[in-house]
Amino acid sequence: MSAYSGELRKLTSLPSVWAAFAIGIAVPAVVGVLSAVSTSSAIANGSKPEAGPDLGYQELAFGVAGAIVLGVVAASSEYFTEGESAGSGRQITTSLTAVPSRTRFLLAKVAALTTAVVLMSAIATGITLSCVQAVVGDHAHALDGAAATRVPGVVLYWVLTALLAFGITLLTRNGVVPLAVLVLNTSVVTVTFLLSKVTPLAVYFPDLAGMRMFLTEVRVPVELSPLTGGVVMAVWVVLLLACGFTAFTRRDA
Amino acid sequence: MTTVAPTRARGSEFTRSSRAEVLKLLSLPATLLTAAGSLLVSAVLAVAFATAGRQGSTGTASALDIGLAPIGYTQAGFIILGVLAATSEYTGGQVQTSLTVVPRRVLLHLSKVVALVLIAVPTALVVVLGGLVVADLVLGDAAVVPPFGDFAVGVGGAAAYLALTAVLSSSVATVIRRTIPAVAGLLVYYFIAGPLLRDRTAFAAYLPDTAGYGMWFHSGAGRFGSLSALVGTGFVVAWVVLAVAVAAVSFRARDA
Repeated sequence: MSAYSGELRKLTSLPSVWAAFAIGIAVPAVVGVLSAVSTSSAIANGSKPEAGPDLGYQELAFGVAGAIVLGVVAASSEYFTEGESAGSGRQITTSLTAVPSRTRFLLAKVAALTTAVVLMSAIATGITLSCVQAVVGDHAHALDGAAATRVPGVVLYWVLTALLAFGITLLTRNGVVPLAVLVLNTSVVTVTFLLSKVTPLAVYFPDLAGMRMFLTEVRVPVELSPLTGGVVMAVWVVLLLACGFTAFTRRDA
Repeated sequence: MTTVAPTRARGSEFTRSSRAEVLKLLSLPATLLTAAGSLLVSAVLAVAFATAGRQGSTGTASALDIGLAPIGYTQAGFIILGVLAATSEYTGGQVQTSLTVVPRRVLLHLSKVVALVLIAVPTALVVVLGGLVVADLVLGDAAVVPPFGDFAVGVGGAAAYLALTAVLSSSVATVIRRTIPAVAGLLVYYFIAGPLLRDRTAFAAYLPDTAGYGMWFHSGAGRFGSLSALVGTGFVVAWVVLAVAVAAVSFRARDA
Protein backbone atom coordinates (compact mmCIF):
# COMPACT_ATOMS: atom_id res chain seq x y z
CA MET A 1 0.00 0.00 0.00
CA SER A 2 2.83 2.40 0.81
CA ALA A 3 4.48 1.49 -2.51
CA TYR A 4 1.19 2.28 -4.25
CA SER A 5 0.83 5.68 -2.62
CA GLY A 6 4.48 6.37 -3.37
CA GLU A 7 3.93 5.63 -7.05
CA LEU A 8 0.83 7.84 -7.09
CA ARG A 9 2.87 10.68 -5.61
CA LYS A 10 5.61 10.18 -8.19
CA LEU A 11 3.03 10.37 -10.97
CA THR A 12 1.42 13.55 -9.67
CA SER A 13 4.84 15.20 -9.33
CA LEU A 14 5.72 14.76 -13.03
CA PRO A 15 4.99 17.76 -15.27
CA SER A 16 4.48 15.34 -18.19
CA VAL A 17 1.60 13.72 -16.31
CA TRP A 18 -0.18 17.05 -15.99
CA ALA A 19 0.44 17.64 -19.70
CA ALA A 20 -1.05 14.20 -20.36
CA PHE A 21 -4.16 15.11 -18.36
CA ALA A 22 -4.45 18.37 -20.29
CA ILE A 23 -4.21 16.50 -23.62
CA GLY A 24 -6.57 13.71 -22.58
CA ILE A 25 -9.25 16.06 -21.32
CA ALA A 26 -8.94 19.03 -23.69
CA VAL A 27 -8.54 17.23 -27.06
CA PRO A 28 -11.77 15.19 -27.00
CA ALA A 29 -13.78 18.00 -25.39
CA VAL A 30 -12.71 20.74 -27.82
CA VAL A 31 -12.94 18.54 -30.91
CA GLY A 32 -16.22 17.06 -29.66
CA VAL A 33 -17.74 20.54 -29.36
CA LEU A 34 -16.49 21.46 -32.88
CA SER A 35 -18.02 18.26 -34.32
CA ALA A 36 -21.25 18.80 -32.41
CA VAL A 37 -21.55 22.39 -33.69
CA SER A 38 -21.12 21.30 -37.32
CA THR A 39 -23.51 18.36 -36.79
CA SER A 40 -26.20 20.53 -35.25
CA SER A 41 -25.95 23.06 -38.08
CA ALA A 42 -26.24 20.16 -40.54
CA ILE A 43 -29.37 18.99 -38.70
CA ALA A 44 -30.76 22.54 -38.69
CA ASN A 45 -30.40 22.99 -42.46
CA GLY A 46 -31.78 19.52 -43.07
CA SER A 47 -28.73 17.90 -44.65
CA LYS A 48 -28.55 15.34 -41.83
CA PRO A 49 -31.55 13.74 -40.09
CA GLU A 50 -29.87 13.22 -36.71
CA ALA A 51 -26.51 13.01 -34.97
CA GLY A 52 -24.49 9.85 -35.67
CA PRO A 53 -24.31 7.29 -32.88
CA ASP A 54 -20.55 7.78 -32.51
CA LEU A 55 -20.61 11.55 -32.05
CA GLY A 56 -18.55 12.28 -28.93
CA TYR A 57 -17.25 8.70 -28.67
CA GLN A 58 -15.24 9.10 -31.88
CA GLU A 59 -13.44 12.08 -30.31
CA LEU A 60 -12.80 10.09 -27.14
CA ALA A 61 -10.95 7.54 -29.27
CA PHE A 62 -8.44 10.32 -30.10
CA GLY A 63 -8.19 11.59 -26.53
CA VAL A 64 -6.56 8.28 -25.65
CA ALA A 65 -3.29 10.04 -26.61
CA GLY A 66 -3.35 11.41 -23.05
CA ALA A 67 -3.42 7.84 -21.69
CA ILE A 68 -0.54 6.90 -24.01
CA VAL A 69 1.64 9.73 -22.70
CA LEU A 70 0.77 8.73 -19.13
CA GLY A 71 1.67 5.07 -19.71
CA VAL A 72 4.95 5.92 -21.43
CA VAL A 73 6.02 8.48 -18.85
CA ALA A 74 5.21 6.17 -15.92
CA ALA A 75 7.96 3.86 -17.16
CA SER A 76 10.40 6.16 -18.98
CA SER A 77 10.69 8.74 -16.18
CA GLU A 78 12.40 6.06 -14.05
CA TYR A 79 15.15 5.70 -16.65
CA PHE A 80 15.67 9.37 -17.47
CA THR A 81 19.31 10.30 -16.81
CA GLU A 82 19.58 13.34 -14.59
CA GLY A 83 22.10 16.04 -15.44
CA GLU A 84 25.73 15.93 -14.32
CA SER A 85 24.89 18.40 -11.59
CA ALA A 86 22.51 15.79 -10.11
CA GLY A 87 25.10 13.01 -10.25
CA SER A 88 23.95 11.58 -13.60
CA GLY A 89 21.69 9.20 -11.68
CA ARG A 90 18.49 7.50 -12.68
CA GLN A 91 15.40 7.40 -10.48
CA ILE A 92 15.06 3.62 -10.92
CA THR A 93 18.05 2.93 -8.65
CA THR A 94 16.43 4.92 -5.83
CA SER A 95 13.03 3.34 -6.47
CA LEU A 96 14.43 -0.18 -6.23
CA THR A 97 16.34 0.71 -3.07
CA ALA A 98 13.06 1.80 -1.52
CA VAL A 99 11.01 -1.13 -2.89
CA PRO A 100 13.46 -4.00 -3.47
CA SER A 101 10.84 -6.52 -4.63
CA ARG A 102 10.57 -5.88 -8.34
CA THR A 103 7.19 -7.59 -8.62
CA ARG A 104 5.76 -5.50 -5.81
CA PHE A 105 7.27 -2.38 -7.41
CA LEU A 106 5.68 -3.12 -10.80
CA LEU A 107 2.30 -4.04 -9.31
CA ALA A 108 2.30 -0.78 -7.37
CA LYS A 109 3.17 1.11 -10.56
CA VAL A 110 0.43 -0.61 -12.58
CA ALA A 111 -2.09 0.11 -9.83
CA ALA A 112 -1.09 3.79 -9.64
CA LEU A 113 -1.15 4.14 -13.43
CA THR A 114 -4.58 2.50 -13.62
CA THR A 115 -5.92 4.82 -10.94
CA ALA A 116 -4.67 7.90 -12.80
CA VAL A 117 -6.03 6.76 -16.17
CA VAL A 118 -9.44 5.79 -14.74
CA LEU A 119 -9.66 9.27 -13.24
CA MET A 120 -8.53 10.98 -16.47
CA SER A 121 -10.83 8.99 -18.75
CA ALA A 122 -13.82 9.41 -16.45
CA ILE A 123 -13.34 13.20 -16.41
CA ALA A 124 -12.75 13.31 -20.19
CA THR A 125 -15.79 11.15 -20.96
CA GLY A 126 -18.02 13.15 -18.65
CA ILE A 127 -16.96 16.52 -20.05
CA THR A 128 -16.97 15.46 -23.71
CA LEU A 129 -20.32 13.69 -23.68
CA SER A 130 -22.07 16.41 -21.70
CA CYS A 131 -20.65 19.13 -23.99
CA VAL A 132 -21.84 17.19 -27.07
CA GLN A 133 -25.23 16.65 -25.42
CA ALA A 134 -25.51 20.36 -24.62
CA VAL A 135 -24.71 21.44 -28.19
CA VAL A 136 -26.73 18.88 -30.14
CA GLY A 137 -29.60 18.81 -27.67
CA ASP A 138 -32.49 16.45 -28.39
CA HIS A 139 -30.80 14.90 -31.43
CA ALA A 140 -27.92 13.45 -29.42
CA HIS A 141 -27.33 9.75 -29.02
CA ALA A 142 -24.57 10.45 -26.57
CA LEU A 143 -26.32 9.59 -23.32
CA ASP A 144 -28.95 7.08 -24.46
CA GLY A 145 -29.38 3.60 -22.95
CA ALA A 146 -26.31 2.10 -24.67
CA ALA A 147 -24.13 4.61 -22.82
CA ALA A 148 -24.31 2.32 -19.79
CA THR A 149 -21.96 -0.10 -21.57
CA ARG A 150 -20.18 2.31 -23.89
CA VAL A 151 -18.87 4.69 -21.20
CA PRO A 152 -17.15 1.88 -19.24
CA GLY A 153 -15.89 0.75 -22.66
CA VAL A 154 -14.12 4.09 -23.13
CA VAL A 155 -12.57 3.91 -19.65
CA LEU A 156 -11.40 0.33 -20.22
CA TYR A 157 -9.98 1.24 -23.65
CA TRP A 158 -7.96 4.10 -22.15
CA VAL A 159 -6.71 1.96 -19.25
CA LEU A 160 -5.68 -0.91 -21.57
CA THR A 161 -3.94 1.51 -23.96
CA ALA A 162 -2.00 3.09 -21.08
CA LEU A 163 -0.94 -0.36 -19.86
CA LEU A 164 0.09 -1.30 -23.40
CA ALA A 165 2.25 1.85 -23.60
CA PHE A 166 3.67 1.05 -20.14
CA GLY A 167 4.53 -2.53 -21.15
CA ILE A 168 6.28 -1.44 -24.36
CA THR A 169 8.24 1.26 -22.53
CA LEU A 170 9.43 -1.26 -19.94
CA LEU A 171 11.06 -3.08 -22.85
CA THR A 172 12.52 -0.03 -24.63
CA ARG A 173 13.32 1.98 -21.45
CA ASN A 174 13.16 5.09 -23.62
CA GLY A 175 9.95 6.96 -24.17
CA VAL A 176 10.47 8.30 -27.68
CA VAL A 177 9.88 5.12 -29.71
CA PRO A 178 6.70 3.90 -27.96
CA LEU A 179 5.36 7.44 -27.94
CA ALA A 180 5.95 7.83 -31.69
CA VAL A 181 4.49 4.44 -32.60
CA LEU A 182 1.41 4.73 -30.42
CA VAL A 183 0.57 8.40 -31.08
CA LEU A 184 1.01 7.86 -34.83
CA ASN A 185 -1.40 5.02 -34.54
CA THR A 186 -4.00 7.24 -32.87
CA SER A 187 -4.09 9.69 -35.79
CA VAL A 188 -7.21 10.21 -37.89
CA VAL A 189 -6.27 7.43 -40.33
CA THR A 190 -4.37 4.97 -38.17
CA VAL A 191 -1.59 2.74 -39.47
CA THR A 192 -3.52 -0.35 -38.34
CA PHE A 193 -6.56 0.90 -40.27
CA LEU A 194 -4.37 1.18 -43.40
CA LEU A 195 -3.09 -2.34 -42.80
CA SER A 196 -6.69 -3.56 -42.61
CA LYS A 197 -6.85 -2.62 -46.31
CA VAL A 198 -3.99 -5.04 -46.93
CA THR A 199 -5.02 -7.91 -44.67
CA PRO A 200 -8.27 -8.54 -42.74
CA LEU A 201 -6.14 -9.88 -39.87
CA ALA A 202 -5.35 -6.25 -39.00
CA VAL A 203 -8.70 -5.99 -37.18
CA TYR A 204 -7.09 -8.00 -34.39
CA PHE A 205 -4.59 -5.22 -33.63
CA PRO A 206 -5.23 -4.00 -30.08
CA ASP A 207 -6.48 -0.53 -31.06
CA LEU A 208 -8.89 -1.60 -33.80
CA ALA A 209 -10.24 -4.44 -31.66
CA GLY A 210 -10.51 -2.35 -28.50
CA MET A 211 -12.38 0.52 -30.18
CA ARG A 212 -15.24 -1.91 -30.70
CA MET A 213 -16.04 -1.51 -27.03
CA PHE A 214 -17.52 1.93 -27.64
CA LEU A 215 -17.63 2.69 -31.39
CA THR A 216 -20.35 1.30 -33.63
CA GLU A 217 -19.13 2.57 -36.99
CA VAL A 218 -15.62 1.32 -37.79
CA ARG A 219 -15.18 0.52 -41.48
CA VAL A 220 -13.03 -2.61 -41.30
CA PRO A 221 -13.39 -5.94 -43.12
CA VAL A 222 -14.29 -8.07 -40.08
CA GLU A 223 -16.88 -7.00 -37.51
CA LEU A 224 -16.05 -7.89 -33.90
CA SER A 225 -18.55 -7.67 -31.06
CA PRO A 226 -17.70 -5.24 -28.22
CA LEU A 227 -16.93 -8.16 -25.93
CA THR A 228 -14.66 -9.95 -28.43
CA GLY A 229 -12.90 -6.66 -29.19
CA GLY A 230 -12.27 -6.02 -25.51
CA VAL A 231 -10.97 -9.55 -24.96
CA VAL A 232 -8.63 -9.35 -27.98
CA MET A 233 -7.19 -6.07 -26.72
CA ALA A 234 -6.85 -7.42 -23.18
CA VAL A 235 -4.92 -10.45 -24.48
CA TRP A 236 -2.46 -8.13 -26.26
CA VAL A 237 -2.02 -6.08 -23.10
CA VAL A 238 -1.48 -9.15 -20.90
CA LEU A 239 1.11 -10.52 -23.35
CA LEU A 240 3.03 -7.24 -23.63
CA LEU A 241 2.89 -6.62 -19.88
CA ALA A 242 4.19 -10.16 -19.31
CA CYS A 243 7.13 -9.44 -21.65
CA GLY A 244 7.74 -6.12 -19.90
CA PHE A 245 7.54 -7.75 -16.45
CA THR A 246 9.91 -10.55 -17.42
CA ALA A 247 12.42 -8.12 -18.90
CA PHE A 248 12.16 -5.87 -15.87
CA THR A 249 12.64 -8.63 -13.30
CA ARG A 250 15.50 -10.31 -15.18
CA ARG A 251 17.54 -7.37 -16.47
CA ASP A 252 19.90 -5.17 -14.51
CA ALA A 253 18.08 -1.98 -13.65
CA MET B 1 57.65 38.66 -27.53
CA THR B 2 56.09 36.19 -29.90
CA THR B 3 52.59 36.29 -31.23
CA VAL B 4 50.76 33.02 -31.44
CA ALA B 5 49.15 32.58 -34.80
CA PRO B 6 45.58 31.30 -34.60
CA THR B 7 45.80 27.65 -35.59
CA ARG B 8 42.28 26.99 -36.85
CA ALA B 9 41.00 30.20 -38.31
CA ARG B 10 39.53 28.82 -41.51
CA GLY B 11 36.19 30.38 -42.26
CA SER B 12 34.16 32.78 -40.18
CA GLU B 13 33.02 32.03 -36.65
CA PHE B 14 29.60 31.14 -37.99
CA THR B 15 30.92 28.66 -40.57
CA ARG B 16 33.09 26.98 -37.98
CA SER B 17 30.36 26.68 -35.37
CA SER B 18 27.92 25.37 -38.00
CA ARG B 19 30.47 22.75 -39.01
CA ALA B 20 30.87 21.77 -35.36
CA GLU B 21 27.11 21.47 -34.95
CA VAL B 22 26.90 19.19 -38.01
CA LEU B 23 29.59 16.94 -36.49
CA LYS B 24 27.73 16.90 -33.17
CA LEU B 25 24.47 15.92 -34.81
CA LEU B 26 26.12 13.19 -36.86
CA SER B 27 27.78 11.78 -33.75
CA LEU B 28 24.41 11.20 -32.04
CA PRO B 29 23.34 7.56 -32.52
CA ALA B 30 19.74 8.81 -32.33
CA THR B 31 20.20 10.82 -35.55
CA LEU B 32 21.11 7.77 -37.60
CA LEU B 33 18.48 5.58 -35.92
CA THR B 34 15.76 8.16 -36.55
CA ALA B 35 16.76 8.51 -40.19
CA ALA B 36 16.87 4.75 -40.71
CA GLY B 37 13.55 4.32 -38.91
CA SER B 38 11.90 6.98 -41.09
CA LEU B 39 13.14 5.27 -44.26
CA LEU B 40 11.88 1.89 -43.05
CA VAL B 41 8.44 3.25 -42.09
CA SER B 42 8.26 5.08 -45.41
CA ALA B 43 8.98 1.87 -47.34
CA VAL B 44 6.51 -0.26 -45.33
CA LEU B 45 3.74 2.31 -45.70
CA ALA B 46 4.48 2.71 -49.41
CA VAL B 47 3.81 -1.04 -49.74
CA ALA B 48 0.51 -0.63 -47.87
CA PHE B 49 -0.60 2.42 -49.88
CA ALA B 50 0.45 0.84 -53.19
CA THR B 51 -1.38 -2.40 -52.36
CA ALA B 52 -4.47 -0.35 -51.57
CA GLY B 53 -3.87 1.58 -54.82
CA ARG B 54 -3.76 -1.64 -56.85
CA GLN B 55 -7.12 -2.60 -55.41
CA GLY B 56 -8.36 0.84 -56.47
CA SER B 57 -9.38 1.96 -52.96
CA THR B 58 -7.25 5.12 -52.98
CA GLY B 59 -9.02 6.64 -55.96
CA THR B 60 -5.72 7.33 -57.72
CA ALA B 61 -3.12 5.20 -59.49
CA SER B 62 -0.57 8.01 -59.68
CA ALA B 63 2.74 6.57 -58.53
CA LEU B 64 3.67 10.07 -57.30
CA ASP B 65 0.61 10.53 -55.05
CA ILE B 66 0.86 7.01 -53.67
CA GLY B 67 4.62 7.19 -53.16
CA LEU B 68 4.31 10.51 -51.31
CA ALA B 69 1.37 9.40 -49.16
CA PRO B 70 3.63 7.93 -46.39
CA ILE B 71 5.00 11.47 -45.74
CA GLY B 72 1.95 12.04 -43.57
CA TYR B 73 3.39 9.49 -41.14
CA THR B 74 7.14 9.73 -41.74
CA GLN B 75 7.06 13.39 -40.71
CA ALA B 76 7.11 11.91 -37.18
CA GLY B 77 10.73 10.93 -37.79
CA PHE B 78 11.63 14.52 -38.68
CA ILE B 79 9.77 15.84 -35.65
CA ILE B 80 11.85 13.49 -33.48
CA LEU B 81 15.05 14.44 -35.34
CA GLY B 82 14.42 18.13 -34.67
CA VAL B 83 13.54 17.57 -31.01
CA LEU B 84 16.58 15.38 -30.33
CA ALA B 85 18.89 17.88 -32.04
CA ALA B 86 17.76 20.49 -29.52
CA THR B 87 17.23 18.47 -26.33
CA SER B 88 20.45 16.42 -26.59
CA GLU B 89 22.21 19.57 -25.38
CA TYR B 90 20.27 19.44 -22.13
CA THR B 91 20.86 15.82 -21.10
CA GLY B 92 24.12 15.72 -19.21
CA GLY B 93 24.78 19.45 -19.40
CA GLN B 94 26.43 19.54 -22.85
CA VAL B 95 24.98 23.00 -23.37
CA GLN B 96 27.42 24.44 -20.82
CA THR B 97 30.37 23.18 -22.86
CA SER B 98 28.80 24.43 -26.09
CA LEU B 99 28.35 27.90 -24.66
CA THR B 100 31.89 27.97 -23.32
CA VAL B 101 33.17 27.31 -26.81
CA VAL B 102 30.68 29.53 -28.66
CA PRO B 103 29.60 32.19 -26.19
CA ARG B 104 27.43 34.13 -28.65
CA ARG B 105 24.08 32.53 -28.05
CA VAL B 106 22.19 33.72 -31.11
CA LEU B 107 25.09 32.66 -33.31
CA LEU B 108 25.15 29.24 -31.67
CA HIS B 109 21.40 28.88 -32.10
CA LEU B 110 21.53 29.83 -35.79
CA SER B 111 24.44 27.42 -36.34
CA LYS B 112 22.24 24.68 -34.93
CA VAL B 113 19.46 25.58 -37.35
CA VAL B 114 21.89 25.49 -40.29
CA ALA B 115 23.33 22.14 -39.16
CA LEU B 116 19.86 20.64 -38.78
CA VAL B 117 18.87 21.82 -42.27
CA LEU B 118 22.09 20.39 -43.73
CA ILE B 119 21.26 16.99 -42.22
CA ALA B 120 17.48 17.02 -42.61
CA VAL B 121 17.40 17.88 -46.34
CA PRO B 122 19.47 14.90 -47.61
CA THR B 123 17.69 12.58 -45.14
CA ALA B 124 14.33 13.84 -46.38
CA LEU B 125 15.34 13.31 -50.02
CA VAL B 126 16.36 9.72 -49.28
CA VAL B 127 13.15 9.01 -47.35
CA VAL B 128 10.93 10.59 -50.03
CA LEU B 129 12.67 8.83 -52.92
CA GLY B 130 12.64 5.54 -50.97
CA GLY B 131 8.86 5.70 -50.63
CA LEU B 132 8.47 6.54 -54.33
CA VAL B 133 10.72 3.69 -55.51
CA VAL B 134 8.93 1.14 -53.31
CA ALA B 135 5.50 2.36 -54.43
CA ASP B 136 6.57 2.16 -58.07
CA LEU B 137 7.88 -1.40 -57.61
CA VAL B 138 4.68 -2.59 -55.90
CA LEU B 139 2.41 -0.86 -58.40
CA GLY B 140 4.36 -2.37 -61.30
CA ASP B 141 2.46 -2.03 -64.56
CA ALA B 142 -0.43 -0.30 -62.81
CA ALA B 143 1.74 2.75 -62.04
CA VAL B 144 0.85 5.99 -63.77
CA VAL B 145 4.23 7.69 -64.15
CA PRO B 146 4.00 11.47 -63.81
CA PRO B 147 5.85 13.93 -66.06
CA PHE B 148 9.33 14.81 -64.79
CA GLY B 149 8.32 18.36 -63.84
CA ASP B 150 5.56 17.13 -61.49
CA PHE B 151 7.94 14.56 -60.07
CA ALA B 152 10.62 17.16 -59.29
CA VAL B 153 8.10 19.54 -57.70
CA GLY B 154 6.59 16.69 -55.65
CA VAL B 155 9.91 15.41 -54.35
CA GLY B 156 11.29 18.90 -53.71
CA GLY B 157 8.13 20.06 -51.93
CA ALA B 158 7.96 16.95 -49.75
CA ALA B 159 11.65 17.16 -48.78
CA ALA B 160 11.34 20.89 -48.03
CA TYR B 161 8.24 20.28 -45.90
CA LEU B 162 10.02 17.57 -43.88
CA ALA B 163 13.12 19.71 -43.32
CA LEU B 164 11.00 22.73 -42.30
CA THR B 165 9.04 20.51 -39.89
CA ALA B 166 12.31 19.36 -38.32
CA VAL B 167 13.42 22.99 -37.81
CA LEU B 168 10.04 23.96 -36.33
CA SER B 169 10.22 20.99 -33.95
CA SER B 170 13.74 21.84 -32.86
CA SER B 171 12.64 25.40 -32.08
CA VAL B 172 9.76 24.16 -29.94
CA ALA B 173 12.12 21.73 -28.20
CA THR B 174 14.66 24.53 -27.58
CA VAL B 175 12.00 26.29 -25.53
CA ILE B 176 10.71 23.14 -23.77
CA ARG B 177 14.21 21.61 -23.29
CA ARG B 178 12.90 18.15 -22.34
CA THR B 179 12.62 15.34 -24.86
CA ILE B 180 9.47 13.52 -23.82
CA PRO B 181 7.19 16.54 -23.29
CA ALA B 182 8.40 18.08 -26.57
CA VAL B 183 7.94 14.87 -28.58
CA ALA B 184 4.56 14.20 -26.96
CA GLY B 185 3.28 17.72 -27.57
CA LEU B 186 4.43 17.90 -31.19
CA LEU B 187 3.20 14.41 -32.11
CA VAL B 188 -0.20 15.03 -30.53
CA TYR B 189 -0.43 18.31 -32.44
CA TYR B 190 0.71 16.94 -35.81
CA PHE B 191 -1.16 13.64 -35.68
CA ILE B 192 -4.25 14.24 -33.58
CA ALA B 193 -5.15 17.88 -32.96
CA GLY B 194 -4.01 19.14 -36.39
CA PRO B 195 -5.92 16.65 -38.56
CA LEU B 196 -9.04 16.94 -36.40
CA LEU B 197 -9.02 20.75 -36.59
CA ARG B 198 -8.37 20.54 -40.37
CA ASP B 199 -11.73 18.85 -40.93
CA ARG B 200 -13.68 21.10 -38.62
CA THR B 201 -12.40 24.68 -38.67
CA ALA B 202 -11.49 27.26 -41.31
CA PHE B 203 -8.51 28.82 -39.49
CA ALA B 204 -6.71 25.45 -39.52
CA ALA B 205 -5.71 26.18 -43.14
CA TYR B 206 -3.11 28.63 -41.79
CA LEU B 207 -1.58 26.24 -39.24
CA PRO B 208 1.85 24.79 -40.08
CA ASP B 209 0.70 21.22 -40.74
CA THR B 210 -2.35 21.95 -42.89
CA ALA B 211 -0.70 24.85 -44.74
CA GLY B 212 2.15 22.47 -45.57
CA TYR B 213 -0.19 19.82 -46.98
CA GLY B 214 -0.12 21.32 -50.46
CA MET B 215 3.68 21.09 -50.47
CA TRP B 216 3.60 17.31 -50.76
CA PHE B 217 0.05 16.17 -51.44
CA HIS B 218 -0.78 17.81 -54.72
CA SER B 219 -4.14 16.29 -55.52
CA GLY B 220 -5.21 17.21 -51.99
CA ALA B 221 -4.25 20.89 -52.23
CA GLY B 222 -7.84 22.02 -52.71
CA ARG B 223 -9.34 19.48 -50.37
CA PHE B 224 -7.26 20.28 -47.31
CA GLY B 225 -7.60 23.95 -46.60
CA SER B 226 -8.21 26.84 -48.94
CA LEU B 227 -4.58 27.80 -49.62
CA SER B 228 -2.70 27.11 -52.84
CA ALA B 229 0.56 25.15 -52.60
CA LEU B 230 2.65 28.33 -52.96
CA VAL B 231 0.75 30.36 -50.34
CA GLY B 232 0.78 27.32 -48.05
CA THR B 233 4.55 27.07 -48.39
CA GLY B 234 4.78 30.75 -47.51
CA PHE B 235 2.79 30.16 -44.33
CA VAL B 236 4.96 27.19 -43.30
CA VAL B 237 8.12 29.25 -43.87
CA ALA B 238 6.60 32.11 -41.86
CA TRP B 239 5.80 29.74 -38.95
CA VAL B 240 9.35 28.37 -39.05
CA VAL B 241 10.93 31.85 -39.07
CA LEU B 242 8.71 32.88 -36.17
CA ALA B 243 9.55 29.71 -34.22
CA VAL B 244 13.31 30.10 -34.81
CA ALA B 245 13.10 33.74 -33.68
CA VAL B 246 11.15 32.91 -30.52
CA ALA B 247 13.55 30.07 -29.71
CA ALA B 248 16.59 32.32 -30.30
CA VAL B 249 15.21 35.01 -28.02
CA SER B 250 14.37 32.47 -25.32
CA PHE B 251 17.77 30.79 -25.66
CA ARG B 252 19.50 34.16 -25.35
CA ALA B 253 17.48 35.37 -22.38
CA ARG B 254 17.25 32.26 -20.18
CA ASP B 255 19.87 30.59 -18.03
CA ALA B 256 21.31 27.61 -19.88
